[in-house]
Amino acid sequence: MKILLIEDEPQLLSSMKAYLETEGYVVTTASTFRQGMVKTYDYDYDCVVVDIGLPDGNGLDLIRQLKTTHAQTGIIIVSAKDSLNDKLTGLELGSDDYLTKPFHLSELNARLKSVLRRRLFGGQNLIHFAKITINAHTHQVNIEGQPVILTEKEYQILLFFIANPDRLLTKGAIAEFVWGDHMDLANSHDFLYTHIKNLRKKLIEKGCPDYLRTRYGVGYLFSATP
Amino acid sequence: MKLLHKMMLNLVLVAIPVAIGGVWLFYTMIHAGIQYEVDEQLSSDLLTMRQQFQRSGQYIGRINPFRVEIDSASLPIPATFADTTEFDPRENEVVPVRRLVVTVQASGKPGRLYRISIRQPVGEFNEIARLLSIGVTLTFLVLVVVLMALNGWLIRRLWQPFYQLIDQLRHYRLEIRSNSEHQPVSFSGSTTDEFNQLSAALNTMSRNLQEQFMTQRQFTDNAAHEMQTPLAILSHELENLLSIEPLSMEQMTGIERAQDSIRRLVRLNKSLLLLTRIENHQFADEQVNISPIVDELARVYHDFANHHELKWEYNLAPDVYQTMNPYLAEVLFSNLMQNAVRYSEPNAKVEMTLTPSYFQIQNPGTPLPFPSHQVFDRFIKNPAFPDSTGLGLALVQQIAQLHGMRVNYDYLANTQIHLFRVDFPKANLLSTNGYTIT
Repeated sequence: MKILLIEDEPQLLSSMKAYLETEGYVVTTASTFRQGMVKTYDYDYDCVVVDIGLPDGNGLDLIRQLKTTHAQTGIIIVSAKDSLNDKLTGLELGSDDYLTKPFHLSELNARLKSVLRRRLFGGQNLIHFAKITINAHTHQVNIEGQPVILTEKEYQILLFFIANPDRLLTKGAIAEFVWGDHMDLANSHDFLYTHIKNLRKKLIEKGCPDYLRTRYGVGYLFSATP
Repeated sequence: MKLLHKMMLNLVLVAIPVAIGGVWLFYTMIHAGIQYEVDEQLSSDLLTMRQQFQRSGQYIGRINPFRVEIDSASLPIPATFADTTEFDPRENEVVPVRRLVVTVQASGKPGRLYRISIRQPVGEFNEIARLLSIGVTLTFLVLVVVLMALNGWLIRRLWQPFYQLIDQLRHYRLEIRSNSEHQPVSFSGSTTDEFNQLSAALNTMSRNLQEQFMTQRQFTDNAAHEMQTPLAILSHELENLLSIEPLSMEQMTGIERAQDSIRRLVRLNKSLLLLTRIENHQFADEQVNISPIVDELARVYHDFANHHELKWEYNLAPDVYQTMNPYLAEVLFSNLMQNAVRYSEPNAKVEMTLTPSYFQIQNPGTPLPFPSHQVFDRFIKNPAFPDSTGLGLALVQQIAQLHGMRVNYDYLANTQIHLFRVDFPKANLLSTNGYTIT
């Protein structure tokens, strides 16, 4: 999978690149609007992650160009502004997702996977993780053919785990992915714990090995390798 | 007190003593003049009589006999004027009289000594003096009234630009209107130099204020924005650190604590940015059906409420339309619900009501540790909840104010219930049920 990151902040660019490379992506970077324009024009990417607040041009123009030259490329907008207008304009222009800075790398990864899935398989594909099969379209979860009934939140938590396997995911990152801004609550970690406990119980009940490991109460690790 | 009234009052305050003093002076002078003239007349009469006595030794009587009395006298007395009154049989009343008494030596050896008393009724003269005084007083009063009217008219006319300036100042608001419109309000000039100077000074002041205001706003905006990137870098670096294996428990919990703090900073930063943007009027209003928004949020927080073992009851009227920004509406109601969840004790009951005219949420809880009027102030928070940004309710109030709504907080001490109520503006009442009336 080829990914292009367009971001003017070098440190941010390198941390994103490092994270995504460990996920097995081929990552190319551009730090200016001009570079971004040239690279999107010359090469094909599966997904472009673009910061629309570039100093030498508007990232939205870049999206317009991409849509005319490489319409099948997935686009994720990153913005420092939590602006509804930018978000709407971006989505109208045909971008697939919108992330507000600062975001968790694990969240970017999860969103990226979902965009790629939609782009490449029309959303109809099945996600496989060891014994778990997920239909991203119907939100149907199966364990070796047996359906598991999950609540919406449990489903999202599972999806987030499967998008970031073998990585330590902190409770804060999971909560933010699942609840977004609504998670501005004290002892929300507790709340998350009950959801994860239920999810784990439901999976094990259907004969799924326990893939979930806790790490010193800091977060969780989802891994098929024991 | 109005400027006009003050001027009038001062005018009257000066005019009255001047009028009283003037009338008194005028009357005294006329009186003195008349007396002088009368005395001169009496003296000239006396002179005629004295000449007669000296020439012929007797009084011939050329002067009005009613006015003269002649007696013989033993001792000479000097000429003496006196004011007296006397009964006038012709007018049948007592009249004021001026009298001259003197002794005269008749001719011959030894001439006889006569005491002569000449009198002159002065009633008519006094009458004239009185009439004159009244005339003058009336003229003066008319003059004052005319002056006051003229003054009033002039002030109203000449000070017109001044009142215009005051009106403009009253409607003056420091605000950022739209992105490009940075023109400050300009105060109108006039043909009067003083007012021109005033409006020029006001224009300079307004420009300076506007510039400072803009700089300050931009500073907050930029500062909050600039903070996002370093925060993102921090958070990413910590996330990458977490993936290093193996980490000790201390290292891991340290990273987690740092991430928690970053998350708090991010929230704080976002709230501050939101507050600034609300103050900058960067949100467009539209006609929004808030019922589904509130309903959706009530469902989201239902989970949280259940987790906190709260009873979560809501009664929402359908299709409540308000003119507001949909995003801000979400922030407003979401913050109020979060507040209720956070500060309720387990097993308590949270009740929410939405009607076309208000939204109300109540939850039982211990009284506030600070005065209740501070509940909407920025950075006022309950020390028992250090995680709170202290901006949630400040945002609620700011959003409500922006849309002409009123937020009230009440604590019912007997039932220990916190009650928040958002009253929607009355004008919007007409536009419920989807019928927009504008």
